[in-house]
Amino acid sequence: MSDAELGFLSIADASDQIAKKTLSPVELTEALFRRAEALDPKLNAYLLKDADKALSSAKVAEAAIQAGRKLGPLHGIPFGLKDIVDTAGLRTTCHSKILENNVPQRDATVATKLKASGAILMGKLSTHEFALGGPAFDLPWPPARNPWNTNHHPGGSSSGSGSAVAAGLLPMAIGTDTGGSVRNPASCCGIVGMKATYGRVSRAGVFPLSYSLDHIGPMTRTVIDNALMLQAIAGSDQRDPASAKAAVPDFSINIEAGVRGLRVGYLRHFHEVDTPAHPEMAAALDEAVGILRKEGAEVKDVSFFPLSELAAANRIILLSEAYSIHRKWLSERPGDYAKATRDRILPGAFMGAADYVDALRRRAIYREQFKRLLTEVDVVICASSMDPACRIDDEAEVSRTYGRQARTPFNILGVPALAVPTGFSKEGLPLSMQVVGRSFDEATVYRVARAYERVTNWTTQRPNVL
Amino acid sequence: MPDFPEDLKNANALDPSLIERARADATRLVGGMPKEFEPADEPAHIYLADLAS
Repeated sequence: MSDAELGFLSIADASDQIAKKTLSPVELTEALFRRAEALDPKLNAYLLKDADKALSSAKVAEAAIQAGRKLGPLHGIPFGLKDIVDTAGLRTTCHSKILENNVPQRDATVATKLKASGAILMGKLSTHEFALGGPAFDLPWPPARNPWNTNHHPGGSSSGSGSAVAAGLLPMAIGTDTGGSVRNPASCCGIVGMKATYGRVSRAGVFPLSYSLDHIGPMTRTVIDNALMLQAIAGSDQRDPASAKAAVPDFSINIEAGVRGLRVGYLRHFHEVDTPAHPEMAAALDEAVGILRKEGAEVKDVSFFPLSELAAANRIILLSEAYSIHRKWLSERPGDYAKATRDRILPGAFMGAADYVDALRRRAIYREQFKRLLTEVDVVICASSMDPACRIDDEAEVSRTYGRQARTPFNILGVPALAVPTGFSKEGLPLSMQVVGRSFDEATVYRVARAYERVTNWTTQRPNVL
Repeated sequence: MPDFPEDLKNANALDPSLIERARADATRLVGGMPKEFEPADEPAHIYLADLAS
């Protein structure tokens, strides 16, 4: 197989070939590093590659598999981590001058779990500074770019994760999501990104942005691969005070069951009334819902609180908590942050204690109402981004489109939300939607997304990066 | 809403319009969230993840 073919091999297919011993983890790891050497200078997805350690881990995996000790579907599969995820002995910068030389002593739980599943850590990936700032050109490293058009923004804040997976540099990567930061790059880069239920994946060892809104999530090119990755990282963890004790089901067991008989709510006022979407994004959503109906789902329109109100509550909580985290550094070293990051965090200095408590009270109301809504339907479909990715160097457009999205509600609600590609704009940039489910019912979300993926070919499209 | 926080004097020196922009953003966000509550409306129990179900 060519490096490009290996680069775009799904986890499921690579795992199958590794099990049959027709593909070696060492061969796969080497091919992906060659692709990164050739392509990453245009993408800036990596902040740090760890080739020596990765190749040595790949050799260990290969020997174990040859000896008949294959651990599971991720054994021998390369992955990357957003650079706010701690890695023992490996620099973890949060893409910031503030932590330029930070070398953690311990792995984050999510890194430990992926390594324990036999996956191969390739390196650390670009992020918006501290998972918030936005694409910035005044940091020690350049921002990641979109493989579908390198003049465009890859979304964020898990920008390197989105870019690397979409470009076939990695089959899977970890992102984090506080106001949409897994689902935004997934949407901009045409891949699949899951924000699972709050508490489903441990946050231990991941640099916090907002304690009560932070989620860690898998980013992959296909729905099945996403379920496989979530399976490896989900579960209770004593290191995380918010970790849920809920049992972890097999996320793939019913993934091919289709949508016949499932009740799908179409939450269209988000993108039709509250924040009117780009026409191509809206048309792709209608078409996706039509496909689910044709596949046998019972579709009906549903409504919820206005997007602007939900976004405001998310921002008040997020910025209050983020300012508490960054106050000392912002006071002592403000010039070491990117301008965009200072701009984004500082409103948190002007939120009052009562404003924060009010936002948490609204949050309880929203949760109760959404729970009620999900007794009427099994999943909800809605927009993710309202626009295709804009140019990365157009500061005004980055700023204008930043809030034009429907992801923040689901951080407040804590329910699982999956970004799934729905096609391409006339300019060749990815379009997307979200599938949202009940708390701890990621399996149904995957089932609906897979039913859609199976009859479309969006997740098999490849960017022409060269 | 807090007045000018002393913590931000260095940041303000870097960019004299920063504080005003931040204050305006905060005002807009707080103004965008409804605040009609019953006294019994408690905050979400944010660190009890299982309660989200």
